[in-house]
Amino acid sequence: MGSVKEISIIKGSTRIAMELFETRTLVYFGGCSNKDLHIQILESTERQLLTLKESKRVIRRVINVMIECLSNISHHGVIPDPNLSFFKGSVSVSSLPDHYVIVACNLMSSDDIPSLLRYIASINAMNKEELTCFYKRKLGSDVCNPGPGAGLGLIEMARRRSGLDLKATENRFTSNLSLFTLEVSVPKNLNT
Amino acid sequence: MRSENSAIRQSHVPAIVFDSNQALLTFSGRCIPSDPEWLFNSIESLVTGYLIENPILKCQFNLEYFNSVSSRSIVKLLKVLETHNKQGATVSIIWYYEMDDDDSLDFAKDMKDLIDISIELVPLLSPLPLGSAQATQ
Repeated sequence: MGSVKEISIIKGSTRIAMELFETRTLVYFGGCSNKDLHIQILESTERQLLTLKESKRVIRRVINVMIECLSNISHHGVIPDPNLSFFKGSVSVSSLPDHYVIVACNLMSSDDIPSLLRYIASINAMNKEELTCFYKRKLGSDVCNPGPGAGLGLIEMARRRSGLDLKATENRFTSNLSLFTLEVSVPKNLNT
Repeated sequence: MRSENSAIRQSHVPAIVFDSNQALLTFSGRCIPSDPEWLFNSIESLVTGYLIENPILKCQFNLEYFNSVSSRSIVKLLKVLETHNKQGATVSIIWYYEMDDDDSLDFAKDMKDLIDISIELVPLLSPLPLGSAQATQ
């Protein structure tokens, strides 16, 4: 019979597995990734979608969103205590009847989240033409002032949302850290 | 950088081939590094050195995937090429995209608006199948 801690881990892992099953998750990665793992995650996703006989247009769109999500986790994910955990973030792809849902989570400073949520709300409010103008303006200015900011990637994801908003939520983790979750949907019927 | 054509589909950086005999610089594959600056800075140095002695350069992009930080680096490189063009060089860009790759085409169109340089958009009719990473090694 295992210790309370072991039983808790088993219960936690079982709960995650059941939820992944219930949410029709095709791919899930959680932990601390690197460039090689990113490639493996992307190729695994690509293979899963090919198995489902998904169109190349949709596969590209899903992979492009995942690339930005993985990049965001690498750049902005925070590991609160490396002695306790190497968990930097997670990314998953789920298959719903009409669309794929890519969900990325990472810990980040709670202070940074309100402005990020406002930014996402502002790009959700833009139509396609406004997003294109904003993207070009941002791309031009970022060339002059490079940085690891997620702004450009979020706009790109918003441009690819095909009518579905980016969804972002915050869950307080510690007094100064929050779990930031970004959900991006890609319709299975892309008629762009 | 490679001296002959090759595709590194397993990698997160593109295959970059510079053929000085044909004045041709090509990028192909994936371009998804977290920090592409080091890569594109070296390319900037290379083309700047080349264009001091040689007036013509053709740049071809055939990228399967690229992330947003790489798109920024690509635009920065093309801005450098634009400057050389204005100083008398003849630089042309060919952007290949697969027929169903709207994202790549949209980006190329955005670049045309941002950069005063000839960018030819060329659709690929016979794309490599996705998921063929192992087959092309």
